[in-house]
Amino acid sequence: MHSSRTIIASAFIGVATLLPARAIDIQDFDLIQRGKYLADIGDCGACHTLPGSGAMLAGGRPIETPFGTLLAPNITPDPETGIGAWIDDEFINSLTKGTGRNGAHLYPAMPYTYMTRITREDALAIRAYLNTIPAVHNPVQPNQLPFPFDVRAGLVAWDELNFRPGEFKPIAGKSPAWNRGAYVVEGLAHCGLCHTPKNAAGGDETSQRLKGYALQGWFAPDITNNKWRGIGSWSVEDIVTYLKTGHNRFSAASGPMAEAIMDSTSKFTDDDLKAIATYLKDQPVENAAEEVGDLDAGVMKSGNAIYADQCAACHGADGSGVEGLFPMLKGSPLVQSVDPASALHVLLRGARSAATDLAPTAPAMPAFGWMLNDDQVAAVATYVRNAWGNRAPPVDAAMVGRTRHALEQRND
Amino acid sequence: MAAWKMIGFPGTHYDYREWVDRHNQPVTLTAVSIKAHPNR
Amino acid sequence: MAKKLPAKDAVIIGLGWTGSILAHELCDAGLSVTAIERGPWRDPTAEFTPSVAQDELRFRIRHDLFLRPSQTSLTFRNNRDETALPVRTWGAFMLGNGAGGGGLHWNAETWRFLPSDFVLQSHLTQRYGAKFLPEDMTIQDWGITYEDLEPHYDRFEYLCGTSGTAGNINGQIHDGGNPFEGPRSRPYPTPAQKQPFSHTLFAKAARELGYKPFPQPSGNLSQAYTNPLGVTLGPCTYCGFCEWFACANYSKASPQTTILPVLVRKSNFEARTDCEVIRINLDNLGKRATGVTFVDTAGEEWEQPADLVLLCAFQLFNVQLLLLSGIGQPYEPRTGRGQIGRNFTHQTVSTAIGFFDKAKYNFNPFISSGSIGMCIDEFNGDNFDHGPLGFVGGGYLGQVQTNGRPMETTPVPPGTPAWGSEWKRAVRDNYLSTVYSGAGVHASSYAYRNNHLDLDPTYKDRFGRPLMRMTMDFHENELKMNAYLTDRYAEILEHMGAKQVVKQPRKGPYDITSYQTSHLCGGAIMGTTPGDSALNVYLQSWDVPNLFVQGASAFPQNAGYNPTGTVAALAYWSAAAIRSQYLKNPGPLVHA
Repeated sequence: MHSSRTIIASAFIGVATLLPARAIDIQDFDLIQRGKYLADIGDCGACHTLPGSGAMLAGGRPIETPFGTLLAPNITPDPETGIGAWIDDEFINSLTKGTGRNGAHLYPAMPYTYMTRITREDALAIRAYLNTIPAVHNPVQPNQLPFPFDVRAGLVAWDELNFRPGEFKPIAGKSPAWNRGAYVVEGLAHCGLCHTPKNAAGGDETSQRLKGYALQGWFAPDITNNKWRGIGSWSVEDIVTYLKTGHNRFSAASGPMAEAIMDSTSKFTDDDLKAIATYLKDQPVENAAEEVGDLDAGVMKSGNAIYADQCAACHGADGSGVEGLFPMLKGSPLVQSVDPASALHVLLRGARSAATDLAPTAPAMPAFGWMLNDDQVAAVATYVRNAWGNRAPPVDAAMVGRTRHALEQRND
Repeated sequence: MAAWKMIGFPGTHYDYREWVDRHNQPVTLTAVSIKAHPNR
Repeated sequence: MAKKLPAKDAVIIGLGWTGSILAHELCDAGLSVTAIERGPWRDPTAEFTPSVAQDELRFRIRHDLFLRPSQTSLTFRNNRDETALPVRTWGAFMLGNGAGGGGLHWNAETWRFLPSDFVLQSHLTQRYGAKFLPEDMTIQDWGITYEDLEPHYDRFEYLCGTSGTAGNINGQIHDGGNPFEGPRSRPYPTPAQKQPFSHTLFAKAARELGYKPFPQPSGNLSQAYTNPLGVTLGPCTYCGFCEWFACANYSKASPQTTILPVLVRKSNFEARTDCEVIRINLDNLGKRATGVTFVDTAGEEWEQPADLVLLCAFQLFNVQLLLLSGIGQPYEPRTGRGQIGRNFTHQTVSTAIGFFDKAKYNFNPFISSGSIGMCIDEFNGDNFDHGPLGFVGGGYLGQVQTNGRPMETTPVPPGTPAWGSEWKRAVRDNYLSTVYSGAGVHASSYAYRNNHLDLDPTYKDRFGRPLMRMTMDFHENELKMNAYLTDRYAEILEHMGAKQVVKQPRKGPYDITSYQTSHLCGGAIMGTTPGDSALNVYLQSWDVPNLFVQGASAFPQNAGYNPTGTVAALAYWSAAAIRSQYLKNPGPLVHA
């Protein structure tokens, strides 16, 4: 939140750099507010704001990609180091075509593959809002990738394979809420950027839409209607509550999703949340149980023993947890994800859940990596993934060891 | 843990909800120390 | 030279229960608030997980969560013709430290005082005559009634999710609750906890003897609960590591589990931990507080200016800071003049041990919680006729055994050697079959002329400030009262079927080395005139109107109950007066 004093100052800056192509009335308060809301949906700050810098959207935040690290650019109205001197069409093209100033190609870490669906009006509203935030002088050199990925010309070929430009077209026969939900999910909110698996080029594996993806030391779960490892058993209400508060009767958001909820989805209107949920629940249903095969009885016994000592006091002997406090492990999509990275992350390092105004408690899971060895972590993980009717592939000690090592390399 | 076992203290279990109503019955949980569980 | 910080509307000294309650109330009223806490920030989930919480050696024996006497201490003597000596290990009471204060490591026993407790002096005088009271007893009326506090008791109970069975709802007596309690406006927010075996046996025996047992009101919750602030607590799992330990699964009411998650999200709230307030600063006339001076861990002095000062540092340090800051007149027992340090009280606890036949009884004492227990109130306050008995006061009796932690649960019959294989055999044979409450008798401590606090003439802390000196001893009234109650308690244990009952009534002199609850009270008491109190009924200092002093230091004397419920109710009562009256018109709220 910035003070009114700051807004007035930056409006002066906006006036000073007034260019002929400007189509926005800088005093259109409604437009600016709408733009702010859309920027919240798009969660621009998740990439463009360096945490702890106090400089909103001034860039410099490292973005992990499968090919190396990029630094998000400065999108404040600073004319030299931000986008203050850009004309509106340049701004809109960056969102919808993946091209920067003077046509330079953007890396798809900037999710233009999703933003392309935005309407021109919405893009202009975002521009109007961005024109009002404090201008920060912060020169950022985004391209930190190693050769050959630092050669932007390669992105033309990437776009051929992975980019389908074009504004969202509502589907006839679907409700307005569905279409709004689709517009948000497939567009501004770019859920698939984390939740859709990627192909070898780092583009979306479109046949596996929203079926989960491992990134930043976590596994963003399947959010299709898979009963076991997706949101098949979640109602519209469950989804709305989760996105609004960070918690629902099954789950507590932690890690990058906690951030997404605190900074973005908790600010959505109830109508938009229902729209997103309506759209997500209209995906194909999958009820078939996971093929797991026989489980090692010794591992299950061991895991049960560890669970009883260390976990049951919060999550319950029956895995039912406590609503709003300790996630339900029975029937949990996170627990039953094929890739156990998130469950292992939480087990090894602990995690603090999201805190929102409606759910301020922010209960935390303690770390167990310090006291359980790889065999023990594998045992308890395998146990919770297969107890109380759960079904998911077992975890072995080698996988735990690799995860532990990978997490130790991270500095977050 | 020898003393704990001798007196009948089952150790550092954190959850006795299933036992609190079982009046005058021995608790059959395996004794667990603060550091490790025998079944692990 | 202290460096001056930007001014705040309010500065709060200490972030325990009252500090957290006041911080939240004042932030809610729109004030900028800074809380200065001597100890560390405490985050139960990060530091006290189920994997490490049940460490008896670390927390119970080595006092890990408490103030280190090397940081500051007090001196103690029984009476004025002795020289007080420094306490080097806590004994009779434990002093908390850090965010949450005592609320982090308390048992969560959440009682209300009786209506008669608030008008004790006039009530007892009316019933028994002034001559019935010991000549040197200095009990007083509080200046408020139970009815004044009832909505605030209710507020605290609903903040915590207190588990209990109501005994009196709007005058209607309900079976299963405490028939003696003052009328409450509605039931407890969650039902009473389940009771283990020995506690239910005690209740059965008590009932057969004609008493009306009820479950102890518990801040260890019987079920998950979300309080009016939106904070969620979980159900207690009877782990038996409650008092002196932090709770590892969000099921003990504490500032951390009820208020702090919301408070830390408020942009107008700031907390500084590991900073010790050394003085409340006054203006040149000494009539107005200008803020506080505190020292950080680097030894740097800082001045925090504020328009309103809330002293929430626990009874003992409240009194010490008042004295060190030159606020009010120090109490002099010889002349009886001065209010600060007067009417110091504690609690008069005792117990009896019931040894049972191990072939027939298995109590599993390790299945327990901090506030578990079945109690009777027939012998509390003035609930019984003291006329024939020759004493005043009383307390609740209960099987309130909170744990079976092995280091401290070694009850053996008298005559057992104190060590060796015979001792071990006796411990083994009695551990599972002994009723062994730390305070089966939890009785009142009334005020006397000689029991007081002042500044020690010799011993100083690391800043060169005098330590608090405690002058305290039991009086015949309390010992007689306690012996009578202990006898009644023993009768119940006998009726339960114990094969041997060993009475352990409280004996004088007051022993600073043996633990007797941390319920220190008085020293900056509330009242209706400056002539007999340090604070008015809103806990506002008579001497410095922009200073409010929270906590049990305000109690003119202590009743036969754990004080925290009343401490919190007073905090809400005081906060309400600050919000509705003081902030609109700063100045004395009561003109004496």
